[in-house]
Amino acid sequence: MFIIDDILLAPLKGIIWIGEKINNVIEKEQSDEGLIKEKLMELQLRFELDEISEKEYEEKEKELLEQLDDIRKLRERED
Amino acid sequence: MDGLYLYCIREKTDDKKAFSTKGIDGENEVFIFGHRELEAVVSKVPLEEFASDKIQKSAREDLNWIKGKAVTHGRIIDEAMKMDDRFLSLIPMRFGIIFKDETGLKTSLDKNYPGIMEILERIRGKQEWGLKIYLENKEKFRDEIRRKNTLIKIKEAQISSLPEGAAYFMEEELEDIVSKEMNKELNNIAESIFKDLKEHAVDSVKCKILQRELTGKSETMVLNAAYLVSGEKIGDFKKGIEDLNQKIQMKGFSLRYSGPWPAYNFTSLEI
Repeated sequence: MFIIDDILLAPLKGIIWIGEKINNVIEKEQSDEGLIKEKLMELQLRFELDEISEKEYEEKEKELLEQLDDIRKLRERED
Repeated sequence: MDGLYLYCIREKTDDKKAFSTKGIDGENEVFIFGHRELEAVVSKVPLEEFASDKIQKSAREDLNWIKGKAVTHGRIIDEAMKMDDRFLSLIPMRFGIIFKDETGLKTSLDKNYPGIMEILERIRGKQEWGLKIYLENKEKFRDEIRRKNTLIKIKEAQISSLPEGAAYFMEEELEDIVSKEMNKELNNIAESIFKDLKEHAVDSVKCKILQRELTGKSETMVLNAAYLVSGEKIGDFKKGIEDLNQKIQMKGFSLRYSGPWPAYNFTSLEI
């Protein structure tokens, strides 16, 4: 089964899909986790708009994913 | 004073169809600026407004602002690509290129003319298609690896012969090996899928794997690729994808493909 009209399928350098994705995330969550996801989206957007290099993208992405990981671990402990 | 915002460059078509999307400023019409054998798809933008601190700040900091503009930018390129029942080859421009006036645009088109013609020549009659492969069923895949991998089997046999305490540490080591072997196998599979489809394409490129946080999917992305496919090969390419899909579904993977897109990944032009 193929879904062709999925916005996510847009090419990486396509800058089309990201806008819609950002909206979803911002509206859904305003938690710490949501904030970091938002930053990830922004990073992706900047990369797609050629504002940052792939190297910069990867460094910052790693940083953000680590932060996200920390938040999740912390929450597990609280639960 | 008005400047010109550039969306994309295509070969001369003499297409008179009006664009239904308004320009990047939300007001001005999108139109075709013809020069030599080229057509630049542009719209007027008030220079004072776009040079103002407010806009510069929005472009840097306001995610929603960029979002809206980026969507408009993409939509106009999309419209420029579709002409009646044909897809035109064009060079999509990066976001945010504004010329002060027509002379500026002309000068730039002249300066880059050989490069632009060369890219247009290369992509003429071709389309970009995207392919994304996800690992749908991680457990199934993990079991399969555990069942088939010799190295893991040996380790398992060793563990079963050990006393409980020592076995505990070996178990941890085993987990490590399993996840490494999984990654290795995932890379192999992604690589072979990528290569399989290459035979139907003129050019291909691997794109960045997107994190789950970005895709919003629980599945892990294992391949994100783009192919440049000739018009007459599209059928073969899609057939190739369908065959592949059947093959990999059994292994716990899922596949998404999409197109045609403007050749975003095969036309880098610094202007």
